[in-house]
Amino acid sequence: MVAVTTIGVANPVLEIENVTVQFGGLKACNDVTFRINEGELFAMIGPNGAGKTTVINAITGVYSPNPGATIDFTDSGGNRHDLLGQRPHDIVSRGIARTFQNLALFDALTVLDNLMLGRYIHSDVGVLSGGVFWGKALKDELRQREVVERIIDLLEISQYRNEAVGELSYGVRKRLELGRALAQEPHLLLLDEPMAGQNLEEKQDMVRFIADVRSELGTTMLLIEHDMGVVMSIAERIVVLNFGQMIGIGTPEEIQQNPDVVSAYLGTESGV
Amino acid sequence: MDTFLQLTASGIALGSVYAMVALGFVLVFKSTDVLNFAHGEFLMLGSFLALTFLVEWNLNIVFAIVAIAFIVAALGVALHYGIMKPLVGQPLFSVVLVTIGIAIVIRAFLLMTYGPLERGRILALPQGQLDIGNLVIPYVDIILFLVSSAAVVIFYIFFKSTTIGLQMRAVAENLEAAAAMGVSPNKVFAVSWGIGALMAGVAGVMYGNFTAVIDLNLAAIGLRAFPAAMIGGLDSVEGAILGGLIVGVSEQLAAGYFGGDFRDVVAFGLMFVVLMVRPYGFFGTKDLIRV
Amino acid sequence: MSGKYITDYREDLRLIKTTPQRIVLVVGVLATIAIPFILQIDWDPPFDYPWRAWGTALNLALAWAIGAAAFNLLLGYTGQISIAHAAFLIVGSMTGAILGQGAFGLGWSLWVILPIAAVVGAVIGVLVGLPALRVRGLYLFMATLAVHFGAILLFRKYQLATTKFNAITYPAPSIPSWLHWLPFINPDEAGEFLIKGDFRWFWVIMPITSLCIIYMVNVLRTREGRAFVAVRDNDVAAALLGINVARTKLRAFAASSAMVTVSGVLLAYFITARSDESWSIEIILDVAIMTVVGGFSTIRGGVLGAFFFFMAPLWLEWIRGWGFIDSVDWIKKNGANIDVMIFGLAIIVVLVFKPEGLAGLWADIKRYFKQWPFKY
Ligand SMILES: Nc1ncnc2c1ncn2[C@@H]1O[C@H](COP(=O)(O)OP(=O)(O)O)[C@@H](O)[C@H]1O
Ligand SMILES: [Mg+2]
Repeated sequence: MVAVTTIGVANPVLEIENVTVQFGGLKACNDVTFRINEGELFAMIGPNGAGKTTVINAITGVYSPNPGATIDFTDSGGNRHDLLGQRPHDIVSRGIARTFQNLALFDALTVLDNLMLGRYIHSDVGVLSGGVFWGKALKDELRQREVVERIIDLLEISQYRNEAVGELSYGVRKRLELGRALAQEPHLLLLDEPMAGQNLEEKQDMVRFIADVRSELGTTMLLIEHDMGVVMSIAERIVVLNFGQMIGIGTPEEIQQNPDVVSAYLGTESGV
Repeated sequence: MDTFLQLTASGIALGSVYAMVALGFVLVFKSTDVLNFAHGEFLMLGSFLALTFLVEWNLNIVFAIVAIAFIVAALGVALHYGIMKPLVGQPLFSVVLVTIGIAIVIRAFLLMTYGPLERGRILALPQGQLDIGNLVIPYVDIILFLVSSAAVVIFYIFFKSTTIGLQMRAVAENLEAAAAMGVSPNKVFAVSWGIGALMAGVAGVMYGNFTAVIDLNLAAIGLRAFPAAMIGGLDSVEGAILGGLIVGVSEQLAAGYFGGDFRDVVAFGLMFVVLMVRPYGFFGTKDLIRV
Repeated sequence: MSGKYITDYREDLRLIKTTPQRIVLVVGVLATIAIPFILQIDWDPPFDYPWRAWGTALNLALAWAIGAAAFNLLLGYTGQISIAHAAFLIVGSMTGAILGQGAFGLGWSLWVILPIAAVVGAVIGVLVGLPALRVRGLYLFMATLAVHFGAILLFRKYQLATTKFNAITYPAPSIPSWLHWLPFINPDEAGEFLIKGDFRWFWVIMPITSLCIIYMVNVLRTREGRAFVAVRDNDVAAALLGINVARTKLRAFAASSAMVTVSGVLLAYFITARSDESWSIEIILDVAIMTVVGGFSTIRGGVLGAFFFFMAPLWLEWIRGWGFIDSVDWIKKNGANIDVMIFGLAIIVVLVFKPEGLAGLWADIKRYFKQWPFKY
């Protein structure tokens, strides 16, 4: 941990360099290098199988990149952490939260309990104080509950509060997963296709929620998204992956004019 | 050294029975994914039926083996269609717990039929012994070894070179793919249960000729299939055979050197060590971990 | 605004929220207090109803309820198939023997031993849980089976070293002197105030069981309990919420083992003797009966299962006493074996037709009554 003192220049939150993840002979992502600055909404786009999820998995310690990679994270206190080789739960507790492309909610639990799980790292109630309950645990439950209720309000899911997640619609579950990540109060939020599989109205809601989160909390975000229209309108900078390779990085305008990106996308995806 | 050889010899005889038991156990696990806790009760059933056939009715042993094999196999098939089939898709410990229920029912049945008193060893096999130097090998041990080996070899040939054996392997490898190729998983499961039970039942007949007493504790012998199978790898046929022999020999050695109390513990302790060092046994395949 | 919210959530976190629940609680508590007194009434119920046997069965069920519920905490909530759970009953009896006032014990009182046993159980529980970090599912089931046999051997060796071939006995604990003023508490002929008999034991076991159950319910509805379920359902997702999966599993093992160990101490003292004969593979079968029939995914299931296990035989025995059934020779001869058969069949039937067990049945009934005209 090295305290960073650079003020004035944009502060980096995540710096990744030369990240290569290999499955057997397949390089799911190859030499991916970018940096996300504080408060930025950074988008990652690319066709299916381009390696976008793999990058998030590498950041969160689910997969380990090949040697030579750098993954540095600067937390809200300005402390810089080398995330390489750290275990997922350690990485997450430094202030990184993520959602999953295919949802990883706990279907047997209620909406409330799923959100409370997002508060896990912000509480230290164990099997002793929890078992005694009246006292520390009760106080803590109430405190966490307040945070969770604010998120419930923000995401407009209060009518589902006590419902088991398994019975909710896909759109609501996507929203809930965003909520659970927000409950972690992350410094960096990784969103893996939060709008996939939703109808237009739900997508618009989700865009609005993301905008709300940014304006209210100023959370730094890495957003993976297929819908080019959405990405172009809300992202500040974009990185484009294709077959694991970075084929472009820059502002939405730069990306739209990048010939490699255009040729990779022409006729295959809509919206460019 | 003599003691060692002596113990090893009887360990191999015992181990060959375990190999047979473990083989049946692994077969069921391999094709149906069910960890059969009632496997020990299948064995016990074989021993008690042997009491009826051989001691009470004084029938020919070859006939008795065939008849018991038939009965126990039929029971296995019936269990599949009656109980296990409706359970497909349930969480894996539900299925284990069902087999515990089956075990309890078989125990109760045996108690009702044979009463709680322990019975002596069955004396249906030639009772002499072979002296090789200082080594004393009872004929029973030799016959045990031969019959078990024969059963194992027959099974192996069946599994590796008949159509149904091939289908069993296909189902074990990839259920969907096998079903897509026209293999009926249900038939394969039923056959697996039948053969699995059969191996245990025949082992029970043989063990009834080997053990000191026949009572409800015999189920523990069937449970030795767990360590035997686990040491080899829960889904490996070759592993089960090797595991059975290892368990048999180490158990006899431990009992000979440290006392009978260590019988259960050495088998399960060995299994524990193997599990910790090589969680999937010597021949088993590693579970795939999802992300 | 926040002030109002806080009272709301506090309300929401109560275990007892509605008036009907309050009524049930009050009636339940009153009934619980009344039961031991009713059982003391010298009275011959009609049909030879086995009145007196109830006291013992009740105490056994209560003591086992802790263990069965703890098993569900580990299996149902955390998804760890540990069959070594029965082994913690052995740990409990050994702790009771080593520290207690028996011939070879250190002479400590039961009241000191109980909390110590919980700690001992938790520590050993963590050790037994270590394999869960390496293997999972059925492999864990097998590994813990090894622990079961190890514990049996240990007990046998301890018994051999102390009481030889006799059972280890547990002398009746005495009632603390500051409680001697209570009604019904009279010294025996020797002038001692001992806890003996079903009536007195009820007042020891029932509160301890209640405390243990409340403890487990509380653990499960707070942070760690949610983490248990998260680890059970998706350990990768759990880790990505900051949950240390390994540590969480060990915590579940610790909490659950501590409870079973307490259960083991209580049972040893209540039954007053334990020998290596008390532990066999059958004890695993007993646990299976309780948890399956009760329902292995809830604490309530464990409790209901324990009651089923000890109460059902009483009813079955009673039914067998009815004239026309009693006259059937086969039934007369096989009495207890029929019970065992019924238990085995119950497991199968429950898992095939109603996997949630009695607890699921209970939930169904509750749902049914919820749809009544008066909503509760
Ligand atoms: N665990 C894995 N094992 C093997 N291959 C994988 C694994 N995860 C991802 N891949 C492969 O890596 C490539 C990139 O996948 P992914 O990162 O999920 O793409 P994207 O998120 O951009 O759609 C794909 O070809 C995928 O099949
Ligand atoms: Mg993806």
